[in-house]
Amino acid sequence: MVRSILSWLVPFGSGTMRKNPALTLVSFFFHGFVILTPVFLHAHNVLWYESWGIQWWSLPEGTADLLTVFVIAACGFFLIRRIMVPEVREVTKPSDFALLALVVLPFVFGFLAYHGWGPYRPMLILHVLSGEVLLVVIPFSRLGHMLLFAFGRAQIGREIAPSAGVLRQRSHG
Amino acid sequence: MNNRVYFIFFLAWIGCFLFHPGGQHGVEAQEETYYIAHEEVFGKLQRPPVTLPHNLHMESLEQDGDGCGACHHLYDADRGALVPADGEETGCTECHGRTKEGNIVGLENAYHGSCNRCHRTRIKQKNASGPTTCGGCHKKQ
Repeated sequence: MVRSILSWLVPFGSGTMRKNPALTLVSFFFHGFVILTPVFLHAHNVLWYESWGIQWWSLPEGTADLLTVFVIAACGFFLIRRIMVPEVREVTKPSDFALLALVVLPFVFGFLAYHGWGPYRPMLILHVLSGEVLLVVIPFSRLGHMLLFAFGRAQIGREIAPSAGVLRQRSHG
Repeated sequence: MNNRVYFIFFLAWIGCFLFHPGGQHGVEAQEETYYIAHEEVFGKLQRPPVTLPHNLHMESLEQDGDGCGACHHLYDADRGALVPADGEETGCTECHGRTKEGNIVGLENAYHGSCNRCHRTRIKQKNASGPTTCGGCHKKQ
C-alpha cells in the first residue's frame, strides 16, 4: 500500500503514468503549482500577517506569475483532453467541467487583478469569491482527493497488488 | 531682442525641471505627494511604488482632531511604547529596515500595518478613507 502511494507521487512511478508522458508531466507540475502558488504567494502572506501575525517564505512575484500561467494553461490542457480524447470523453460528466472551472477561476481572476487587466475591484472580489467557493466545494466533491488521495490510493493498491492478494489468500487459507 | 527674452524664459523653464525638488524620498520638505518606493531598502521593487497624497492625509487627520502623530511615531524607551511624534516627524526608514530588528517591524510590514489598519478603521467609522487592497495603493503607472 505504501509502495503504491509513493509510486503514484513520483512522476513516471506508476505504469499508467509511463503510458501518457505528456499528461504525466503536466499533471505532476499542475498539482505542485496549484498548491505552492497560493500558499507561498507574497500578497497572501501579507494578508496572513495582517490577520494572524504569521508570515512564511514568499515566491518572487515574477515566479508566482509564471506558475499561475502554467496552472491556467494546464487546466486548458485538461479541458481539451476531456473533449478530444475518446476514452476520457466517455467517462466525463458535466460536473467534471464545473470542477475544472472552479479550480481555474481563482487563478484567472487573481492573474487579471495582479496585472490590473479589467476593472480592479470586481476582479479582486471575483478572485476572493471564486477562491472561497472552491475551498467550500473541496470536501464535498472529487476535489477531496487533495486530502484523501493517500487513502484512496492505499485501498486500490491493496486490492490490486499481487503480493497483497497472496498474503490475504495465505492468511485466509 | 525678443529672441533673447524667449531664450531666457526657455532656460528658466528647463531650470525648473533640473532643480525642482524631486521629493522621491524627501523627509524635510512638505511635498504635496510622496512616492513611496525605497529601492535603497527593498532593492528591485516587485510591485509598483505607492503614491501618498500627504496633504490630503494632513487635512483629513486635522479635521478629525488627529495630528501628524497618527502616522509619525517615535519609540519612548522609558514607557516602552510608541508615542506620537508631533513636532519631531521623521521618515519611516529612520528606524524601520528591510527586516524585523528586535521590536521594530520591517519596513514593508510597518507600511502595510500603518496604512491598511488606519484605512480599515476609518471605513468602519464611516470616515473618508483610503485603499485597503493590494492594487488600490500599488497602482501601475
